[in-house]
Amino acid sequence: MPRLNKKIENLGLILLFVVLFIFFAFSSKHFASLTNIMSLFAQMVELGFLTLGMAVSMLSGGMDLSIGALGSLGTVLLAVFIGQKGWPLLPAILLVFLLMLLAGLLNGFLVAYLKIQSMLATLGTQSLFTGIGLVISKGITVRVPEESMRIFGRHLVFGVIPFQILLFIPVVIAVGIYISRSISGRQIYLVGCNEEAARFTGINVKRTLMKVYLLSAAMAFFAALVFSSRISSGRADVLNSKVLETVTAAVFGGVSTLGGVGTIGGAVLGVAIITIVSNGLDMMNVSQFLQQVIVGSLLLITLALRNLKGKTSPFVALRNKVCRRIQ
Amino acid sequence: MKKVISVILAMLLLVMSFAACTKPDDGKTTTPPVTEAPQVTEPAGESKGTIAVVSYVTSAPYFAFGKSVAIKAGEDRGYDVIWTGTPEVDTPGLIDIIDNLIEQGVDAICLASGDTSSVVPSTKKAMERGIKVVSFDLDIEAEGRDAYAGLMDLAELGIPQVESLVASIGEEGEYAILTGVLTNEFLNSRIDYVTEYAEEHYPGLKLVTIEGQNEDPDEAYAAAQNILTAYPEVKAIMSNVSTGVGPISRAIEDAGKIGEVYACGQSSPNLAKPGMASGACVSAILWDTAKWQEWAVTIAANLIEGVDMPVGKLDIAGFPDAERIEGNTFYFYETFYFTPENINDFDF
Repeated sequence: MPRLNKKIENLGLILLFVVLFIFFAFSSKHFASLTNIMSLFAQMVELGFLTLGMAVSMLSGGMDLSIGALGSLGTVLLAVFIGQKGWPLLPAILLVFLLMLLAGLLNGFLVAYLKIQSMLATLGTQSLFTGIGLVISKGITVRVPEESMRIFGRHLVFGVIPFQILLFIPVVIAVGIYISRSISGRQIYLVGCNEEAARFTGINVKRTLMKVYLLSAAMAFFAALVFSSRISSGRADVLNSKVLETVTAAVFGGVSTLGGVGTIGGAVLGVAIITIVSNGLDMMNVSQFLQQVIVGSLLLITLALRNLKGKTSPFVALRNKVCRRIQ
Repeated sequence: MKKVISVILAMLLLVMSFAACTKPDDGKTTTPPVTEAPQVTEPAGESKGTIAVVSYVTSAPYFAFGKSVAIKAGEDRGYDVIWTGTPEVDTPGLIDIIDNLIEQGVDAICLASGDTSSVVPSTKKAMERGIKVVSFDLDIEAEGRDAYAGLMDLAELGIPQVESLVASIGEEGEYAILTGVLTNEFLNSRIDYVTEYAEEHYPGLKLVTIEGQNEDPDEAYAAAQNILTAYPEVKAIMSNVSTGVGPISRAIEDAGKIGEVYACGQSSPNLAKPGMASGACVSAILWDTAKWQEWAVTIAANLIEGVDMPVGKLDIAGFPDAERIEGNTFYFYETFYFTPENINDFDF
């Protein structure tokens, strides 16, 4: 039943996406052009990667507030190794990936072993990662030669499809399958539902949380890779502004801030809806101020409609069902 | 009851959303009249195209103050103007906006970016599509724009800063300079302009010290207090950055030296207002941010229309000192003197 509920909810989000698409296609002559549709999907990717990381941390009952700062640090590291030091692409990317996983381990260690509340721990590491980025970059934007990293954020496959979409899709599928189908992924749900209960069922909670923040760091890495290519540079705070947007997208897609409820598919749909609204309203020349009102309103409408489905908070109701089922 | 409230809330929000969608604030609405008439080459009729004015913090009064002027400048030249940007500093968002403007097929983008390089790949894409890109406020890397619509070499602001000093205390007396970061080469070159110009034109002025405030209002206040104590004969403290006049004025007020010592130099008008009201400041300089946006739109329109703008002095209506220098840089050389009489006409 919970799975059916989630499917219905995701279908609702898909329907909303389609309705919005049709609305914007009729409202702006530029919206439905092939290049804009490709641009629209390309714009989803960085937010999408970050939202995947945020969604996984939220499913575990936490919230990785450092994900934007870690992504920003990733852009700086990539820019320094490739742009300043002139390293070949592959070793530079691998090293940055490993360094970012180390940062993820730090987050996991703070949350799992030192028992610091995830929001507080990642608030601290957010500042730490930004600070390290500022020190390394000396507070300035570090340039990367445009051609060296072009493929990840500005290359069009067959002259049409942005490469980053082809990078994003398999990652979404992999994370989705991991979270929903694997034992390890399901354990994240149970830890998010009730950490104590998870412990009693024999789940290694610490290891599970470490995996969560490693996965989150990996998603920050992908976002950094794509974005540093898009801007041919790295800056210590360049993705910091995306953190709240990732929470919005995840919540929009049905991921509970209380943990244990939500799907990767839903989170991606949340990203898709936020991006299509932003792109479509840009095409209609709606001011950015009003766009914020509209996105906020859509979020509240979605939450209100979900609320109608249960007497208690929608997340709590769904969460209870899911938790009972897992247990 | 709970369901009813939820439904009402949902409906209300839905209505708000569609209202916003169907009647967009697209920056093309009629705007209030401006005090200075922009260049008008032909009356607004059928649109000649679209110019986008994009800034990286649209919620900042510094940029918002120029919205209506930029729109009117475009309209008077026969262009629709999209005035947009990210409400807060958000580089990914700014890049998405530029990409979306490219897809809309605008004819020109006037861009104030928060940094010099991150937008360049996107602006280069715009240029490849034939869109004219004009940077203003902070310039971006030259490869990413067709022109920079600038005010002047901002180091030369040292000269009007001296005039602001003279307007405050006359041509004789001791003064101190409060700069941003003491090691900042750009700010130091501005101080060089101050000292050279003052020595040449006003030999009776005597610089007693240069202090740093690290762009921190508290540090600026403390530094001004120290100057007032250490140099009892000082008659003015000149701010070399736009954030100093406010704290200097407060220090003068708190020391009970209104009428004896003046805050002067560079300041945004809003920061200078309290000092102007108390009498601690009678002259400050900056530029008119609205005029700067008008200048960017004017250059963009000229580029679209292929108006010849050779290096040297330019004949552009509304900008009597306009000049093109090497490197596709266009200056209009208009600093603005704020006084107690005109300060309340500005809000940024």
